Amino acid sequence: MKHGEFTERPSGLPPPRMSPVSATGIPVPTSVGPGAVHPDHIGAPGEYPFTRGIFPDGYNGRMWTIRQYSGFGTAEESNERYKFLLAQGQTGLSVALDLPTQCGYDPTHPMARSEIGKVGVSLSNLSEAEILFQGLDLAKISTSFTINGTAAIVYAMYLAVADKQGVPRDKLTGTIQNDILKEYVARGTWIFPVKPSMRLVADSILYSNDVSPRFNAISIAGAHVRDAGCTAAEEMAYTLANGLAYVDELQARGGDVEKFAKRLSFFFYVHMDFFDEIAKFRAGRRLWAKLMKERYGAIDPKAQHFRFGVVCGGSSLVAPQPYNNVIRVAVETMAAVLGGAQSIFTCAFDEAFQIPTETSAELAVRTQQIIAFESGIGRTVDPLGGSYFLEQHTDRMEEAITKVMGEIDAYGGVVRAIEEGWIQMRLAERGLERKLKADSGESVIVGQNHFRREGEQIAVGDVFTLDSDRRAARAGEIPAGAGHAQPGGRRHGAGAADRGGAQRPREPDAAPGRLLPCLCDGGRDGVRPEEGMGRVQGAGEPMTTQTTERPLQGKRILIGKPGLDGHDIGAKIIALTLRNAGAEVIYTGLRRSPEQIARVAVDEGVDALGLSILSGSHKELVVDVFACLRELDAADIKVFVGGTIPHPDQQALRDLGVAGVYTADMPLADVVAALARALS
Amino acid sequence: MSGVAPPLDRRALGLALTRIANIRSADALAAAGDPPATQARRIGLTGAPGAGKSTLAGRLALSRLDRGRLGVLAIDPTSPKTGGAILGDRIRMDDLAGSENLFIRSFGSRSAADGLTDNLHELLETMDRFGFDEVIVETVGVGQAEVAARTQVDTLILVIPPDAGDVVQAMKAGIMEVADIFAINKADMPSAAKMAIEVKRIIALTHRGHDGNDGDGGGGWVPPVVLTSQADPDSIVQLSAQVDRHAEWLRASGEQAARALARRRYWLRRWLERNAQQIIDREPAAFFEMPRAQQMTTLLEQLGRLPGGGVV
Repeated sequence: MKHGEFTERPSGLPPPRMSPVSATGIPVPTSVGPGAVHPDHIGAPGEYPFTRGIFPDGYNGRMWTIRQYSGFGTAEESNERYKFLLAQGQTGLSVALDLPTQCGYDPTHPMARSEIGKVGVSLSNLSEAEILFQGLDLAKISTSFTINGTAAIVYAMYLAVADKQGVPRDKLTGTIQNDILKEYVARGTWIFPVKPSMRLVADSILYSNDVSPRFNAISIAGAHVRDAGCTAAEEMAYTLANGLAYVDELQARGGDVEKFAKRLSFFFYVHMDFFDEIAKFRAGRRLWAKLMKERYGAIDPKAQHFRFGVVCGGSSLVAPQPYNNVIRVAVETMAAVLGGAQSIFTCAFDEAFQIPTETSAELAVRTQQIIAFESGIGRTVDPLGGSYFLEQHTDRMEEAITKVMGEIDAYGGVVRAIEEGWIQMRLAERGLERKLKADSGESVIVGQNHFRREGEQIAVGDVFTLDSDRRAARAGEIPAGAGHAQPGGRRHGAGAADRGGAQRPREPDAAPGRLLPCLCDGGRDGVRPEEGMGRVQGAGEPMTTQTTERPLQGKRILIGKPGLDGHDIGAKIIALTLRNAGAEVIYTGLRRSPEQIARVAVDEGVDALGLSILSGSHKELVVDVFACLRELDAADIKVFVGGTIPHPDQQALRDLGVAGVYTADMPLADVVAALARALS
Repeated sequence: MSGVAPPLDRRALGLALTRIANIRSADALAAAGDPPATQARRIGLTGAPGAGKSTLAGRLALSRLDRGRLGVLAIDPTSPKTGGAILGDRIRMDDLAGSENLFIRSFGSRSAADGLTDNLHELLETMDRFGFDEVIVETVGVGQAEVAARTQVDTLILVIPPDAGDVVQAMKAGIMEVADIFAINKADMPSAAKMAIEVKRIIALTHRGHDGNDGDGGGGWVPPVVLTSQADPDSIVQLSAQVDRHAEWLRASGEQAARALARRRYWLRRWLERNAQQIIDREPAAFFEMPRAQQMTTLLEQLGRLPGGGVV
C-alpha cells in the first residue's frame, strides 16, 4: 500500500454517525453525573458480588493468560508451531482441532476426506496426541482445547499423554470447552441429542474434578452465539442460562456445587463497543455470583467466582483494509483487560480471509504484551470502577441480561428452547438484522461499508498453505490395528472399548453409571457411546418478512452445507434472505456429503444450488459436488458458493464452473440481485 | 412389489415435479391427462405445528422401505407476503438419504390454504406414473388440513403431541371422521400415556354411539391410537402395522372405491374453486354492480374458455 493516497470511494451510504444507543441497544446519555451511581453496586475487588473482579489484587497477583488459537495439519506441524509460540512468550496453548476430530469422524470416513487438518490438528488416536505434545512438559503448560462433541475423548487422551510422560494428573492445568449446548445453537459439532449430551458433559466434569482438580472440564461459551450475530447482553444471557443448565445437570448427577462450581469457566467474544463489553463482563460477574449464592446456596467464594476467557476479533474483523483489524484487536483487548478477563486470545488480523501467517500470529501475541507491559492499564484492579457512566451502564447491562434470561425461563428453560429451535431462530433473526445494518451503513465498519478506498488490495503477506502431501500421507498411514480403518470408514468409537486396556462393558444408557471412567479405562484413544442414541437437527425456521419485492419468485434454491463445518448462521441468513425475495429455499442442514447435496438438488428439482463453506475446503468440496451433479445428469444446475473464500480462490472457483461467489461482506441486496440475474 | 419397475429416473422426476407444481390452475385440467393405470398407496400425516410430523414421517418411511419404491412429499408453509418459503422438513428426514428406493421432495403450500400445495393431485399422479408403490404426504398443520388431506390419501394419520388436550376436546364429536389412525407422538413425555387414554376414551364413546360393535369384524373401522416416539423403533413398527391393517380394511370393506370417488369429486371441486377465485379476484368493482345472474353467466363463460374447460 502506498502512503498519501486516501481517495475515498463514495459508498452511496448516508454519512456515518455515532448512535445514541450502544451496540447492545442500551441508551447512552451525553454525560452522566453522580446521581446515576448506586454506591452499593460498586463494592470492592475480590468481594461479593465481585462486580469489580474476583481477586483483590487483579493482575498484580497473576497476569492474564496470553493464548493463541493454533493447530493445523498434522500433529508434527502443530507441535512445531506450539514450540515456536511458547518460545515467543506465550504462556498457554490453545489447541485447534480439525472438524473430523470435532465431529467424531475417523480420518478414513468419506465425510472427513477433504477436512483432515484443515481448521485444526487431526487427533484421531493416542499416538497423534503423543506427537502433538512431544517435548512439551504438561506439568508446566496450560492447554486449552476447543473441543465439544468429543471433548470427553480428547480429555481422556490428554490424561493418557500425561500418564506416559509421568506427569501426575493433579498437576494438569488447562481447559476443554465441552460446552455442548451452544453447539446446537451456533457451532454445530454436536453428535448426540441434547439430553444424553448433557449427561456426558456432567460426567466428564465430575470425573475431572476428582482426578485433575486444576483442570477446567468445561468452558461455557457465549462466543459463538455472539459471533453469529446476537448482542453483548444476549451473549451473556444465553451463556449464563447455559451455565445454570449445567449446574442443574451436575447436581442431578450427584455433584456438589461447592466443588464443581469452582471449576466452571466461561468464554466470550469481545466486539467493538468498548463500554458495552466492559459492562458485560462486570454485570455477568455480579449476576453469576448472585445466582450461585442465592439460587444454589454456594458459600465458598471460589464457587461464586465467574472466571472467563475471551477472544478478541472474530466476526468484528473484516477482509477489506485488513490492517484496520490490528487496531480493532487492540481496542477489544483493552476492553477485555478492563473487564477483568482471566485469559485472552487475540485473533490475527488476517483471520477474516486466510489462515494466519507466523507474522500475523506473532503480532497478535505482541498486541497483548504491549497492553500488558507497556500501557500499564492492568496495574490497578478495575480502574474504571466508580465511573458514573460505567457503573450506570453496568446496571443497565445487568437489566438487559436479566430480561433475556427471563424470556428463556418463560419458554421453559434453555434445554427446551434449544431442542425446539427457539434460540436458533432468535439468533438467525439477529444475524440477519446485524447484516442488514452493516449493508445499510447504519453500523459503521471502517473500510468495509464506510471509508473505502479505490483499488485496494485485500491479500496481505503470504497465504499460508498446508503441507498437503504430508497430510494425505498421514491419513493413509493410520494403523488398521488401532480399530480406525473399519469397513466403509465408520465413525470411530463404536468398537473402541475392545482395544487395549481393561475390557469394561459400556452401558451408555444405564442411568446411574458415569461415563468417564469407562472412557478413560477402556478406550484410551476414543470411545463414543454413539450407538443407540439418535441425532437431532435444527431446522430452518419461518420468520417475519421484511421485503415485498419478489425478484426470485418461483425459483427453487437449495442451500447446502457440505463438509463438517458447523457454522451455519451464514447459510441461515442467506436462506431467509432468499425466502424474503420470493424463492422456495431448501436447506440441507449440517454435515452433508457432496453426494447427498447433489442428490437433494436433483430430487428437489432446484434451479440453483448454493454452497456455504467456511472451513477452507471449498475447492475440494466444489470439485466433488460438480462431479456428483454430472453423475446424476444434472450439470445444468447453477452452483453458487458463499463463505470465507480468499480472493485468489474466488477466480479458481469460477474457473471450476461456479456461477457466483458471495462473501460475507457483500450486501445481501447485491446477492439477491446477482442471483436473480443469473437465474433469469 | 416393484421388482420389475425400471430404475427411477430421479432427474426426470425432479424436473417433472417442478414443472407440474408451477402449472397455473387454469392449465391444470389440460395437463392432468388421464389417471395413471396404477396408483401408489397414499399415506397422509397431518397435525399441528410442532407435533413432530416430519420426524415421524421420516421414521415411518424408513420402516416401510422394504415394500418397494417409496416417495415422501413434504409440504411447508409459503409466506403469503413474499411468496417464498423455507422448506426445512427434509432436514428431519436426515437418516433417509441414500436409498435408491426413496425419493423425498419438499413443496411450499403456495396459494393452497388447506394445508396442501397447489396441484397436489397432479403431483401425486406424477408419482404414480414413475412407478411408486407408496407415497407419504406430510401436510402443513393448519386447522382444516385434515379435511382436505383426507380426500387425497388412503390412510390419514393425525399426529398429536402429548400436551394438546384442547385440540382433542375440540374435535371430540367428530373424532371418527378426522383420521384413520391417531399417533400420540413424543411418547417419552410423561403426559403422552394420559393423552392416549383420553383419545381412546373419546373414540370408544363416539364409536358406541355409532353401531355398538367392538370394531374387529363388522363393517366399521375404529381408529387405533398408537403411542409413537422417534427414539423407540418398536413404536414405529406398530404404527406401520396399523397402516397395513387399515389398507387391508379399505380393500375388504369396499371403502377404497368410495374414497376414490370422493377424490375425483374433490379434484373437480378444487379445480373450479381455484379458477373461479382467480377470475373473481381479477374482476373490477364494476363487475359486482351487474345483476347477480349476469355476474354468474359471465363467470361461467370465462370458466368454459379455460384450456380443457369446455368439458365442464
